This record gives sequence, structure tokens and C-alpha cells, in this order.
Amino acid sequence: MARHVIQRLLVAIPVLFGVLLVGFLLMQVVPTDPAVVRAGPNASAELVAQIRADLGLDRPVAVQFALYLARLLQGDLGVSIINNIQVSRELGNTIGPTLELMFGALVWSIPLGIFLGTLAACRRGRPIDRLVMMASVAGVSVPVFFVGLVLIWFVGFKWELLPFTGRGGPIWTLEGLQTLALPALTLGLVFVGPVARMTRTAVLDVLGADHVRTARAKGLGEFPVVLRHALRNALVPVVTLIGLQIGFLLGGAVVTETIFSWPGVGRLAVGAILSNDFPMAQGTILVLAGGFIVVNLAVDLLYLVLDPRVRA
Amino acid sequence: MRRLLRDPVAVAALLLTLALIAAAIFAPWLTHGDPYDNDLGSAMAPPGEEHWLGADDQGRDLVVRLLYGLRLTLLMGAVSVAVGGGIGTLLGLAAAFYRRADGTIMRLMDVMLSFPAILFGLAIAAIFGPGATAVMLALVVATIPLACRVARAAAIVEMGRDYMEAGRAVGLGDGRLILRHLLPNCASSLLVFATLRIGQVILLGSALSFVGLGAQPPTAELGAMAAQGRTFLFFAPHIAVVPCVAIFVVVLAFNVLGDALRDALDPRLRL
Repeated sequence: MARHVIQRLLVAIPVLFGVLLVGFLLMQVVPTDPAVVRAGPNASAELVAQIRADLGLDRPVAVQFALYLARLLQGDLGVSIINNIQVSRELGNTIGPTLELMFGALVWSIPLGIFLGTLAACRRGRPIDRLVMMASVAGVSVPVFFVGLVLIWFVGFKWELLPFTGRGGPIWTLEGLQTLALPALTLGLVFVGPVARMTRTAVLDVLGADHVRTARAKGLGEFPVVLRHALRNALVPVVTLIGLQIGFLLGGAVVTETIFSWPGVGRLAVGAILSNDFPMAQGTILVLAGGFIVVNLAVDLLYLVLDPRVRA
Repeated sequence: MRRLLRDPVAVAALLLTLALIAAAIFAPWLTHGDPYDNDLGSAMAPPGEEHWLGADDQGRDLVVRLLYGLRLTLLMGAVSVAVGGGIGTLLGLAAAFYRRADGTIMRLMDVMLSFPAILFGLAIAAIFGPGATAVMLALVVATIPLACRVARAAAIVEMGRDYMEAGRAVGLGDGRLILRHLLPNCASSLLVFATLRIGQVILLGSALSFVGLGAQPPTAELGAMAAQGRTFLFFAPHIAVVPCVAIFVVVLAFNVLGDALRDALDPRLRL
């Protein structure tokens, strides 16, 4: 077990290094001189030189990279070129909404996907199986923004049931929940398909296994066989596969936040890139990549906990 | 292949895919309009006699824009998968053939797989500026490690076959062995991968264009067209619906075809 954990952590090191290198590169292509930006428009040449020396901009690139890492460790991500706000503060404000959106999407789509996948596996080849599989292929083929626009048009615009722009407040307030509903529905809808598909495959694999045949042979009803013997074992691959889909979810979140003007990290990243706000873009990419690495690591470790065979 | 043709859904998907590709290739001959030709008189015209699918906010005919958009979107998808898949395949075959390079190549792929495609898209658009080229570059980079894994898995099985041993025994060079003998025998796995991947890549590329990081307006590209339609959603929903439905149909066709190909050619392969 310990060996697996260490091995897994070792792979994370070059990945983390790659992320930081990209972040550093982003700061290198900035067309403006960061020292001039910090000094302000009326600063003297000496002051600019002073700041340049303070920031280490006159040193070799390798030293600059080290200084960059040191600043990151202190939580200093720089200042937005556009509105002079600390990048770290803006990120702090947007991470919460993004996590809310992901939670709101996963909390219903994963259980529904697992339910539909199990149902399809148990009724293999029957109409219900075909229906679920068709719906799931359609689900992985539909653009997220199509789902979002359709929901906005019907639920938000025509029927005026739910708000569709911005965030009304934290998730525990009524307004927060109302504004979260449509974005979470949009992002969740494209996630049900893959989960159902993966669950179906995993349950079908397990249904053919010896221990399930034994359970049936000893006269257990269909319900306990599926629930206790098949689904429980199928959950291990399902968890891993869901983990692999986190990147897909992240992509969906960026689009969903943009459509619904949801004030999350994805929308912040797109806005920063479009307005050439390099420090802000760098900060958002670092946070998204870092979050992705942590989640992946967590899923892999969870896999070790769930499947004792891997530990040996 | 015969098994594929026995499944009506697969045949329908195959015909649809071929029809879409043909429509994209022959777009300039199928219509006589210009996708950038505006006519403010028919701005936001709903679908009707004059404009079958309506016109956009600049009065540009949506049938024409749809065909040209399909052309660009399919081209972006095909090029990304061809380049990324090509590089990935060569790396995968090399990893299977030269066992000493295997560890290094696959660790590198693990690192690349640690980033979701959307992050490549964001980072590359941030460095090089938004545009169709940035999106394609991101899609290529995101495709390489996946293709590498598929090629390596297929090639490792083939490496144990007698014909590889025989080829070596008659003194064939490495390059010839890999390209003329190993590659063709991995082709079915790679074909399935490429078909499914084109669908995913088109979905991803259009999403990047939709948020503004890909093809820029007024380019006739399906994702960018959907973004343009979003602005006028409440006055003229058809401007957004037409490109959205088109993307859905294209991706669906490739996905269904890919699934059918997998079932017919290579039941073991699961992506």
C-alpha cells in the first residue's frame, strides 16, 4: 500500500512542475514590463530599476523561476493588469461558486447515472436497456452549451420558472439555490450519460462473476443479488472512471459558467485570457490544474481503499 | 466489416457520417452563396422560403454558413486527430517495439494525461492568443497520450506474434518492421480510436470556440456561430439552434459509428 501511495505521489511531482512551468511561461510572454506596471505611470527610472532588481527581473531565467516559485509559496500570484486587484483575492472569491456548481451537478447526476446504468445492466437487451444506452450516447454527444441554451430558453425565458444569470448568494440561501438550479442541471445532464454507461459495463462484468452465480444459486432474490453482490463490486471501477471524467466535468464547468454568468474560476479564466490579463490567467490556470491534480490523486488513493487487491 | 453492415443503426451512422463529410467537402458547390455575404434587409429572418434555415443577425444565410461551418469544424477535428493521433501512434509503437524506451515514453504520457484537455485549451489560448490554431494545437496535444496508449496496447499483443519474429529473421530493418508490419496490424484499434476521438475533439473545439477562445467571429465555425446566436437567443433562437443541432448530429454520428466499429472490429477495446 505504502509503495503504491509513494509511487503515485512521485508521478505527481513532474506534473506539478509542468503546471508551474506553464504558469511561469505565461508571465514571460507578458508584453508589458511588470516593473513599470508596479511602479506606476509617474515613477522615475531609478524606481523602476529598483523594482526590477527587487523582483529579480535582471537575473538569469533559472533564478527568476526560483523567485517565482518562492513568491507562489507565499501566496503572491501578482496583481491583475486590468483592475489592479490581487489575483489571489479574486481567486478566493471565485473558487466557492465553482465548487458549488460542481457539487450541485454531481449530487444528483452520479446517483441517477448509477441507477440507470444498473437498471440497464439488469435488463440487458430489453427496451429499457436500449433506451438508457441511446440516451447516454446522446448525452456524450450533445454540446454543453446546447443544453444550457435550451434550458435558458424554456425554463428561464418562456416559462419564467428560474433565474438564469449570475449567482444570488451562497448555496444555503434560497436565492443561491434558485440561481444554482439551472447551471447545476445543465452540467449534471451531460454527466449522467457517461456515468450510466460506465456503471452498466461494470455491473455486467460483475453479474457474470462466480460469486454472483453462487448468490443466485443459494436462492437470493434478484434485488439483494444486484444490490449487495453486483453493484457493490462494480462501484470500484465506477469510482475510478468517474475520477477520469473530472477533466470532462471541468471543461463543462468552464462553458456552463460562461453561459449562466456564474462567477466561478472558469469564467474568470476565460475573461482573463480574452482581455490579455496575464497574471489573472496564470492564477486561474494554476488553480484549475492544481485542483485537478489533487482530485485525481484523491480518486487514485480512494481506489486503493476500495479495492483491497491493489494493496497487496 | 460484414458484422458492421448487419446492424441497421451502424449503417445509418456510417451513411450519415459519409453524407456530412461529403457536404463539408462540396460546400462551395452545394450552395452559391458566400458565408460572409451580409444582407441587413433579411437580418434575423426566421426559417422560410428565401432562407431555409433563416438568416443571422447580419442577414447571412444560415444554410450557407452551416455548410461552411461544418467544413471548418470537421477539418479542425480531422486535422487534430490526424496529427495528434499520428504522433501518439508513432510513440506508442516505439514504446512497444523498443522496450527500453517504454518506461520513459509512458511516464511522459502519464504526465500529459494529468491535464484535462480544457486546460491545454486555456493555457495555449493564453500564451498564443485565442484562435482556431490555438484550439487545434490544444486538441493535438490532448490527443497524443490517448493515441499512444491505444497504439502501445495493440502493438504489444502483435509483438508476440510469429510474423514479427519472421520479419526479424529475414533481416528487415526496424523502420520497415514497425511501419509495414506492426502498424497495419494495429490499424483496427486505431481506426476505432480515431472515429470516437473525432467526436470528442469536435465537441471540445466547439466549446472552446463558444466561450470565445477558438475561431473568432465572423468565421463560419459551428461553435463560434452558436456563441453569436446566444446574443440573440430571445429574438431569434434559430441562429443558435441551427449550429448547436449540427454539432450534436455530427458528434452523435461519429460516436455511434465508433461504438459500432468497436463492437465489430475490436470488442476488447474500451475507451
